[in-house]
Amino acid sequence: MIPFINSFGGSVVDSNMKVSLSQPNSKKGFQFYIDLVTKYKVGYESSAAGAGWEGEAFGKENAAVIMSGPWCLGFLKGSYPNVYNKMGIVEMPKNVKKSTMVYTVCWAINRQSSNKDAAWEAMKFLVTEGQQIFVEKAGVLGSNKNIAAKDTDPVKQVFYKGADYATPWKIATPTGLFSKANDQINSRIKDLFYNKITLDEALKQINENYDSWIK
Amino acid sequence: MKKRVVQEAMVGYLFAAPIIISICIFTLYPILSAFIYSFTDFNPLEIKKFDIKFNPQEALEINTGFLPSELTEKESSIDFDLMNFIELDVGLKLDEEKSVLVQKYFDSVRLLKDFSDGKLDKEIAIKDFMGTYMTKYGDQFRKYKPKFLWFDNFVELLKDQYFWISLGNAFFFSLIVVPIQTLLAVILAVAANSKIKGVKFYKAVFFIPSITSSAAISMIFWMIYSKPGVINRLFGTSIDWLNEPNTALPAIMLMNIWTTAGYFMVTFLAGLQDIPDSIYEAAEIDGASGLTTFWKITMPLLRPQILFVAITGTIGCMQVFDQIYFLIKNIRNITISFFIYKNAFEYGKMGYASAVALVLFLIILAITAVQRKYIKDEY
Repeated sequence: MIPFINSFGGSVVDSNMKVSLSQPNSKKGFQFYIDLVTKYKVGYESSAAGAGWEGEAFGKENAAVIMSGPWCLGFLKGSYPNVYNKMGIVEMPKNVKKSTMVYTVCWAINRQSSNKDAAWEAMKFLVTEGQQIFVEKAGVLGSNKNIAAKDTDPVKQVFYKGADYATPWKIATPTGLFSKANDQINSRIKDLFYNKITLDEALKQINENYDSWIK
Repeated sequence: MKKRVVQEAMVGYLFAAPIIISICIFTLYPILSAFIYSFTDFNPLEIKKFDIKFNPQEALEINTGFLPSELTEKESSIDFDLMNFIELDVGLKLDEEKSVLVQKYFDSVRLLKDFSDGKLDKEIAIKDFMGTYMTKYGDQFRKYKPKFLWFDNFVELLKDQYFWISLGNAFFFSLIVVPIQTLLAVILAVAANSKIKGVKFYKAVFFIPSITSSAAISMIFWMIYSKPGVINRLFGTSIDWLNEPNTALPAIMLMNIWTTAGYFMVTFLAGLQDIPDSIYEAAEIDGASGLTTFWKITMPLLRPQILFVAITGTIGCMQVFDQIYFLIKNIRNITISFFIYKNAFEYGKMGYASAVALVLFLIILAITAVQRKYIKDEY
């Protein structure tokens, strides 16, 4: 849902980390996302296609278009080579601005580690040659610019383009906690998919309770 | 004589010791601590926070941006933010109460002096560090003590919308599942008790679901309930049973009945053995039909077993977890024990989760007490 909200010029939280889903632009994006399921009836949850996640639904040819990331590539190549050979990848359609998400990961050394030097050596490997292996074999995007430049796999270029304007998958909260808010908002999205509540009701509930969900 | 009695008792306890000890460690102790935690804001991730070791010199170098040798000259101009140092560079999260203590009693002048003298370049546990530099109340930083909140957790849960939703779901679940699974178990038992060919095979078939891993069963039912699954094909519907908020819980109920009915069938099979054949013979001579025999003889005589199954079934249903954990994605459809799990292990609110668990315990205790009363009337 977040790419749609961003694409309409909105955001989940504003720069003060206050929830901003009911800002006019965010609301338009939110509405569009729900409409895909309820009004236009083109969007489905992957379980509706009898699949555990969207990659599987696509591989089984039960979904024509999916919204996913490069982690899907290795899976499709291995499990559904036929589909992999005939599919195409494009950037997310945009409303007022281009939008997509990146899921970033990092390596860290625990401050309690008793082998900091060895850990440092391992980390040096992981961000250079190690990353190269991940990029070549597992389909992830190279975050190291040199490795990214060497990655000429044509199917991945769209994802590299997307990285220029992508939003990292992380909702900033003052406490750093988001899991409860995530559950609560997702529950409302499901209610919206099944027309149990209206968008205004959902937004009202979210606005009223958001602060208590991130404590 | 008396000595022998004591000796015998000692031997008895010695034999029972393994089970007594393990019950104390694995049952009584957790129950007691959960009871205590339910009045606190206990967070298991913080237990060790005062035992973490760090190097004060490195931490100060990072915080101030100076090496100890440089500091001697610039001591007067240094802008040392104590709270920032404690929270970020020492890595100790403080609640309001402790922040006030640190602001009042932490001897930062002495710390900076020791720093410029180069005395700090060794690993030290946070508790010892705080003990050294707090002029007063250093003992407050020795051991993690959850804050005692009295009944705050219980007040909070009364206001928590999802506590009521999940509790309501658990009640709804039990109210539907317990009667149906009990009746079904009786019917299965009567069928398995009859003298038809291949009855052993049927007994095994009925019993297998209850000994199969619930993860495996959940996977199979996930496929059965999915949109292109068997159920939709049989009935020509197109419902996403586990995701539609109105059908998710009933779908789990059906699956739960199917898995547990066979298990309780065994209890009723044992009960059926105790009903004397003469009663059935008498009924037959009086011209009672099969159905009348079932309702007027079998069911009344199975009453103790029915009550036992009702009690254990209710306890099991109020605590149903695994199938919800595997199959339910929407928190609107979760039951109370999954709500406890979410709070304890996903939201990091162990104290609150303990409070909910205590409430659940009291509810089950009350239900069981009511059911027990019925049994007493019988005997």
